[in-house]
Amino acid sequence: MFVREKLVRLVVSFVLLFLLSVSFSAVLQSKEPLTFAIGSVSWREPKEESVFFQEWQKRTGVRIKLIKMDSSAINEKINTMLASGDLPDIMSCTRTIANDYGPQGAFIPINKYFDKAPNLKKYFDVKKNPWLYGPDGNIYILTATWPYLAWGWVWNKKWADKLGVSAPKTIDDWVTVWEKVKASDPKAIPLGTQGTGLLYQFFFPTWWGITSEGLVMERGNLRDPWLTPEMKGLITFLHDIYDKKLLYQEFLTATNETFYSLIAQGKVFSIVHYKGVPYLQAKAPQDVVNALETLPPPKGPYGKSGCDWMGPTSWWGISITSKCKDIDSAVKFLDYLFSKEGTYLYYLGVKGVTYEIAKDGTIRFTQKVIDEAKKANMDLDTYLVTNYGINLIFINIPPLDPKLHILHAKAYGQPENYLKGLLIVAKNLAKYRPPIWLTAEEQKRVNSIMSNISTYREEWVSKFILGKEPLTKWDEFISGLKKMGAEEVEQLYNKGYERYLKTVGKPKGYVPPIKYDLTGLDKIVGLSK
Amino acid sequence: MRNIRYWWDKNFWPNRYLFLMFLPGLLYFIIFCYIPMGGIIIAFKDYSPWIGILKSPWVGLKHFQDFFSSPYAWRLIRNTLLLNIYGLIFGFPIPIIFALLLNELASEWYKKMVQTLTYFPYFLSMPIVAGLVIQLLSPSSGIINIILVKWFGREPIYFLTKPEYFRTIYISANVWRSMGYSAIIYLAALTGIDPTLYEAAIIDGANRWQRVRFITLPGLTPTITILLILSMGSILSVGIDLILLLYNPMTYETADVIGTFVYRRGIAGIGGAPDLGLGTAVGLFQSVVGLVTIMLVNSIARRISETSLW
Repeated sequence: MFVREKLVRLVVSFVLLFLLSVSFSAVLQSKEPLTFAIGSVSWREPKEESVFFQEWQKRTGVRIKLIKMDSSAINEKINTMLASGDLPDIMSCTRTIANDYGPQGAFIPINKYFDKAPNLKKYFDVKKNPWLYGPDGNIYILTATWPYLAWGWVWNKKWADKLGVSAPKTIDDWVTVWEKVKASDPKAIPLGTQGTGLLYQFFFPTWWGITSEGLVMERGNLRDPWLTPEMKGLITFLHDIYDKKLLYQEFLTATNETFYSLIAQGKVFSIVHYKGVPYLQAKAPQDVVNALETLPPPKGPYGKSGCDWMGPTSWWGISITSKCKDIDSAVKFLDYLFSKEGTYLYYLGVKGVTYEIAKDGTIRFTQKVIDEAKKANMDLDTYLVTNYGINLIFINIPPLDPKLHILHAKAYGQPENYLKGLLIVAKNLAKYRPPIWLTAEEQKRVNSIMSNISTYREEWVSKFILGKEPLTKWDEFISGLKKMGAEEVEQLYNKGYERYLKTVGKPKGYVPPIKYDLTGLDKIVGLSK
Repeated sequence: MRNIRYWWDKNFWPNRYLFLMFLPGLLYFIIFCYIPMGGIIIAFKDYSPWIGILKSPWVGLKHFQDFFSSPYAWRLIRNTLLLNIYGLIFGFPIPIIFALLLNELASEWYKKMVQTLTYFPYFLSMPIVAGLVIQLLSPSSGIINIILVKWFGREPIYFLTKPEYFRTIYISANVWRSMGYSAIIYLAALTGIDPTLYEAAIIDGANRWQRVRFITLPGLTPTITILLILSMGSILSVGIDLILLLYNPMTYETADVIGTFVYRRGIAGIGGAPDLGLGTAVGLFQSVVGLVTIMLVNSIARRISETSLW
């Protein structure tokens, strides 16, 4: 009897234990990791076991599983995922894809979950950062300010000193200097650049004070700068400097290698180009590299100036798909990257382990990782990416403001003239175009018109600059633009702009200001002692 | 029923291994060529991968209209056609002549060396070929301009910005790159010619030239005809990688082709999202034109010679 009771108890307790463990494991299994399809390039491969991903999961309490998408075929990969409906929970995506398929239901509007995401709510404030919104006023993709600081107006200081010229302040000063260079050495290239795009990037802000993504404001309405008389002035100017052989004569066809070898040989007096000293460092003799100096952008004929930058919208970002099994966790996970700690984790790793902050605000990588990199015979950048997962590309969030960008460059030991250049560019960022919220239909129409216009424009502009067509034909060029629908695009942009103004309740002509904190940087990069 | 039985016993079973070997090829065409043909309907739809091929809304001929109403449509078609036609006129005979010349070489060692050397450029990737071309033609440091200036006292020519030179540059680069490779098929056909024919010709007193003219060339004709007909199928498509690397706005006039238009519009264009509908529509147009020309040329070939595709 007694034995039987004991047996029953034993059995019951076993059954209970079994049930408990089953339910416990069920609870565990319900917390299956979120799948995260991430863009991957071979030299910056995201690794799940790296410190960055481990720490990110630990701090948010959200578990993830990475699926790598090779960058070379990433658009196709995303399309296949969309077509098969087999979507991960979180994925790398482009703005266009997210804004196209988001309204169709492929991605969730993340702004609906902002109440649970304090950092996102703060960053994606419609009044501060309206560029980040999709066409229907929702956010289907998290992209962030990623002001790619171009190199700016660079000249060879040693050469300039030899000629006894002082730093040009206006575009006319530049022309005078270039003419002096040409007069002293007919073989010299006074101004070097590559391709027409770069001319826009540097001369556009000089003429209008806005970035080359430009649309100018005229009495509260947006205007296509190409339809304004100022544009004729700019193209005439470019033709003149080409004609006088002040501009590199082969700028249309030269490859990167050719162009940079000319700089390395010290044949180029001044440069407008997006690649900077770090690119040149391994290729050119030290004295050439050290002689390069970034100057503040010159004032254009209308008294405006500025440096081009990528603007507050990066192309790539991260979306949460409609197939996500736990949206709250996904939002929480991504929200963390927009906090200060999250940003530092992404760009610098773990404080005390990979980096330290000095009293003056300077960031340094720890001696430990520097030694490790030396031992592994890798440069610091590559070592940190491969071994710690720091500063991957393709995520493009969290926000990298100019201050962090410069501190970051310094932490990697970039040369002083480059850091100074970055700061000069950061201090002179050109204005950014107003936010335009187009519907998907309008966007398609714009794309369709612009594809013809851009071919047409490039063709004419190259011919004007190289002198194959006289500038007396300008009116013919403009009437062609209009025939192709340039004015319709202008109207569509204005419609999209008004849609934005209505949403935020602002009057015509309003463009939200973009301000970055640059305090203390002068001292850090050595601009002031 | 009896027919099938007969076919099975007489045809299939004795040749079963041949049929087995034929199977992968058949499957390849079914899976990769015939089934995907259903996707052609994308050309008539506003395709969204998320909604799916079948559920995407129909747009009729919108994509075709889009392409043909582009102010550049005619220029694109003309440039594509001309590049192909010039390619055929200059690029097609050169490997044949080259193969014939190689065949006449007596020294085995020299023949092999020449073949390897000419075969080699085929393995260079397009960016390298383009880089070489850009270097050679540079107005300041290119060897061609140096010769022009130093030996002939002429002004340097900025070749890559002159539309009138583009076709020549493109076709020469392509011929240089693929001559050795294309010659292989003709060399293979040459080995198939019965050597006794040559022996008989020598006895009859035929000289070298006569042997080439009356034995080698007729022996090659079927191969030449087939390759020519096949190349007609792609009369409206042209490899765009080299064009993309060599062209610039100054040379769009002669260098911009259908493929580069679709590339700019779909992949590199503003907005960045590939316009798959337009791409498919243009692809369909190219294929239909290709099919019509191939049938036309084939029927001509059938009428005037013994060789044809079908």
